[in-house]
Amino acid sequence: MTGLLEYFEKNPETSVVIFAGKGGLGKTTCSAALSYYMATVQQRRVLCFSTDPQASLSDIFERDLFGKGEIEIVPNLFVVEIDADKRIKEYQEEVKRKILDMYKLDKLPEEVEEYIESASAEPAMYESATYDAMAELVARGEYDLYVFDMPPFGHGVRMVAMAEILAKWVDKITEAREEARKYEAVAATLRGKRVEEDELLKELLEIKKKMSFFTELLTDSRKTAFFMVLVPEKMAILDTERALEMFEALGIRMSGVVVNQVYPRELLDDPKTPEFLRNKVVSQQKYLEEIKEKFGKYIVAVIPAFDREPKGFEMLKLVSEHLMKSRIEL
Amino acid sequence: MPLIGSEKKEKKGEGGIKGVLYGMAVHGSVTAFLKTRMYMEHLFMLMTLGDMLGFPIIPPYYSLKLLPYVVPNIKAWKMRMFRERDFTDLITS
Amino acid sequence: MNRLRDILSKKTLRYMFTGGKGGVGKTVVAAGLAYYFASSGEKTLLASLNPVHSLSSLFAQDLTGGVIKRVEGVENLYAIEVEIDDIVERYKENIARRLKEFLKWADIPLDPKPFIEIATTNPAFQESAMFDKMMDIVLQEAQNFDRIVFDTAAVANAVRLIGLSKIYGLWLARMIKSRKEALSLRVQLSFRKEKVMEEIKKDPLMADLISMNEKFSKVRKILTNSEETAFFFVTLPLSLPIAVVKRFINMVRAYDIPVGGVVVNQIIERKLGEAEDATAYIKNKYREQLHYMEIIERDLGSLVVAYLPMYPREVVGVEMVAKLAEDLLEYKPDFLEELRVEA
Repeated sequence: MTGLLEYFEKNPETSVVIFAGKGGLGKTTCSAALSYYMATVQQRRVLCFSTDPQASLSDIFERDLFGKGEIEIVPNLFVVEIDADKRIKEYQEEVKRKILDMYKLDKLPEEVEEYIESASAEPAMYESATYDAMAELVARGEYDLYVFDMPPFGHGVRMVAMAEILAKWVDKITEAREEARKYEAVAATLRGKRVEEDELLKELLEIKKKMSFFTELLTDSRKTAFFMVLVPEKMAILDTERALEMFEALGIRMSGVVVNQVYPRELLDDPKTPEFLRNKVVSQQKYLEEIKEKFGKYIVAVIPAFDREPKGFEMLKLVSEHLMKSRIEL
Repeated sequence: MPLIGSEKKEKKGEGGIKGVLYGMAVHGSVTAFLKTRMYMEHLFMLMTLGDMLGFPIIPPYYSLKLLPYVVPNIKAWKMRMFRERDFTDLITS
Repeated sequence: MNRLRDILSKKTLRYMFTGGKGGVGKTVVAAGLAYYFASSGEKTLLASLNPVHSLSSLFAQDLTGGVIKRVEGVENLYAIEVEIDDIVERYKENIARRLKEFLKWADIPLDPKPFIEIATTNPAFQESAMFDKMMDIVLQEAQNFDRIVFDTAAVANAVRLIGLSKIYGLWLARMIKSRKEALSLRVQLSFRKEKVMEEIKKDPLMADLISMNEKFSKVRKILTNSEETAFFFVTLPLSLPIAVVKRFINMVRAYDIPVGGVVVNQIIERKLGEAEDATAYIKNKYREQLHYMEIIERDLGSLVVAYLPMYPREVVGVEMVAKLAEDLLEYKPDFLEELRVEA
């Protein structure tokens, strides 16, 4: 066990870190702790981005960050908690304005207006908006390190898969557009030139570029690190196994596993340790064995169970010490 | 069969252009070109705005990004979608 | 006797959901509620909507397979670990069929396969599928069971799943509208109106959309009716789970979903926390807990309907579920009275 610090020493080009895993196991805590360490100890310019609607950087940093953009919470540490719904609204307004401008209209055609309004109702919209925000931030390249916590398991893996799917979609559309353009010469003899068409193609390529940039980054193990966070419990182990399989299928290399909320074995030696805790330690020991067996070579850090909740700078510092220079041997 | 732009001309002269197109449809290779282009346009519209007709293909987030460019064509596209088949019906039966 | 008993004694309350931050004990609370009903002689279904199920390990018996199974050792109790593979498959076939029909109809002589593939990899499938299954259970199993308890996925998903019914309705309404419009356009433009009308009547997409919309509005009506439905939130006496519960109570209310109440789980008793020989770890934990219990009383007090103690071991097996069900209705932390005075 060496901690994440050694990973960064061995992979100095790492600029994106993603913590994945089931909700409630400490992904967001790990994101916050890593970001805090990198910004305060290594003075790197860090962006910490939360996409998990369950955990909240606002709670961990004890400051309302939701929908407020990039907030510099300590020098070099910027935190974003995206308000996807707000982003969708703004985006809808932008599209409406663009149409009005483009066609010099005072009012949108009814069916267009309706279409835009109800688009926010589409189930995938929220996810798309989050993804787009992530891609945009990384593409802007203003930070040395980007740290993301992924939404709970299914969403997380899906998000990664989506990059590929979206790129495929755009490929198809672009292909169709280019194909159509070939015949444009013929069609153009009937009407005149059309400038907007080129702009549309440009827009398509722009979307594609944005997405493939991010996809490439995600599958580039030199630049991107994927860590799974789990706790010594049956469900978490099952989940991690599943995720490992999925990541493999998506061509993403797992950089490591962080074992969180581990109770020290020494509690068993203390006769004062109450029964519930004693049983917890015993059951954890069993699952820790399983974790060692199944993910042994992946384990990079072990974080103990604290007697206080991991929030506030002081606790983050403590968590980050374990995360970066793991001292607990399983 | 324009996909983009020339919206005013399109609105007024749509029947006209269509007439020209269908008129040309009886002439050799130009017909093939136009036909292919038409199919591609159908497909493009289907992919970008398919969910308007019940086929959610592209995520709506990106549909919205492309929407401004196809606004003038929505009505025509929908009309075409249903008119052409009838037209074909008529001449083939 | 606590408030929960009052709420549960209402016979009209048929559908219950549990939600909360990951790891707070949603599944055990759902199981406890279901056990309570079943042991009071009501035929009860416990349905897990989690992407990763844990009912089997909780009851220490095989409840897998995505079908309703009798829970051994508890009369009147049935459980299902909902699987969505079949529904995702059905969705795929459905959209493939529609697309093929459409391409044929629009006379586009291209291979539909790549487009079908693209259309069916739509990432919203999984989410919609789980929601669809939940709706089926609400609509179809209501006649077979007196009570249905859903162990819902992580809180955001849980709320979204139900909230989506409102949004879905909007979306579907638009789809139906434009479909109608397109079809009526066809009638107007057609040279053979009767033939087209006939086709419209049996338009499979239209029929699908309408039946889906009917399903949504039925379920929406049930799930927003506080006589029939209650959403229970589970929290621990810790700030992060409390913050999540507060956030989601607001969300749920915005969706008009009735809140049944809050259950506070894993409470460390005073006799443990203030024992003379308690370890520093327990003392600290207990002190932290008291602080958050006060916050819960202050901010959520009127919503708290039940408490559960920290159990000496993980809740596994029918016997422990039975004990938990009893505690759900009876248990009160030994420090509660003083806490209220202090607060």
